Amino acid sequence: MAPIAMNRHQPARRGASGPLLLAGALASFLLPAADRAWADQPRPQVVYGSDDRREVFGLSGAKAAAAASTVAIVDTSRLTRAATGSRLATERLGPRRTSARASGSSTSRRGRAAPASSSARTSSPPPATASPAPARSPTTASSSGSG
Amino acid sequence: LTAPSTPRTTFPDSDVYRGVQLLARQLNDSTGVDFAVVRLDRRVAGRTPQKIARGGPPAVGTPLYVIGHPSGLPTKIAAGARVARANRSYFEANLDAFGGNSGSPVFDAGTNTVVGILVRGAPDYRAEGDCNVVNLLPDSDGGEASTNTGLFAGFVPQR
Repeated sequence: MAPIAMNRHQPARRGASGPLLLAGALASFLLPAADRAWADQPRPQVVYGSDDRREVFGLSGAKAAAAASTVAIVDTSRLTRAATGSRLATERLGPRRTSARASGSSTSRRGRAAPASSSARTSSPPPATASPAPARSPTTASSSGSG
Repeated sequence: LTAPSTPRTTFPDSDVYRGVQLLARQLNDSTGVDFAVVRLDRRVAGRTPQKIARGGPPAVGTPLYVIGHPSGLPTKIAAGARVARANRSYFEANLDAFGGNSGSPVFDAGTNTVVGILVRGAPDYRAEGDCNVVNLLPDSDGGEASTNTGLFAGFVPQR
């Protein structure tokens, strides 16, 4: 039921299955040729699987400092005025988690992918946001800092 | 995200910059060079500039991590990669990178110096029945490419 792993590069035969993450559309600006090719590929509605990538809030030391100095680049069309500055348009990918099926986590690095299944599409991932469709013109750099 | 399931979607104006000038740009299919250097509308405040490598490409085997927005997700840090191949223009590594990571800084995990800017890679997803699933690759594939920072370091002030 946990169909795929997020780790793209992996040696064969390492066990892991996992919870899910979600994905959807691409973000970014300056869409170079390579990203245009990426954008033409099939896109997932939801991505399930093990994942050893780390979140900004879980970092410390040099990696936290590096993340604090890394920006996200977005199209100005995705920014609106907010009381405290600018609000970035996002989208929710997948419904809220409603059952234990969507819980649990795996930290295995380069875990083996579980088989894909169309049933995964109806599982209940946790809520999250991601950036909507790719922007194609360089306009605004929004400092993502620690958030 | 500031915590699990807690996205940060509003930013103070002091954290939002606008690109106002393209200082340099190269996109060359034959050499694989792909970068752009953009001047912002004002001096960045409250952030420490990252150090970038100003010499040749990282050596094969150099440990790496990348920070960015794979598939448009909130910021992710993907580590555990190594340089598989390198030439004067770019290097390839087994980074767990996706569309949306383009432009992401690629760090030498030993020095926390930016050594590359992620520019292209293998297909991210493949169709399987009704699903699009992640295109899993062997570590030996190492097919995610990053432009060497040394190619544009001259446009970036030294710390």
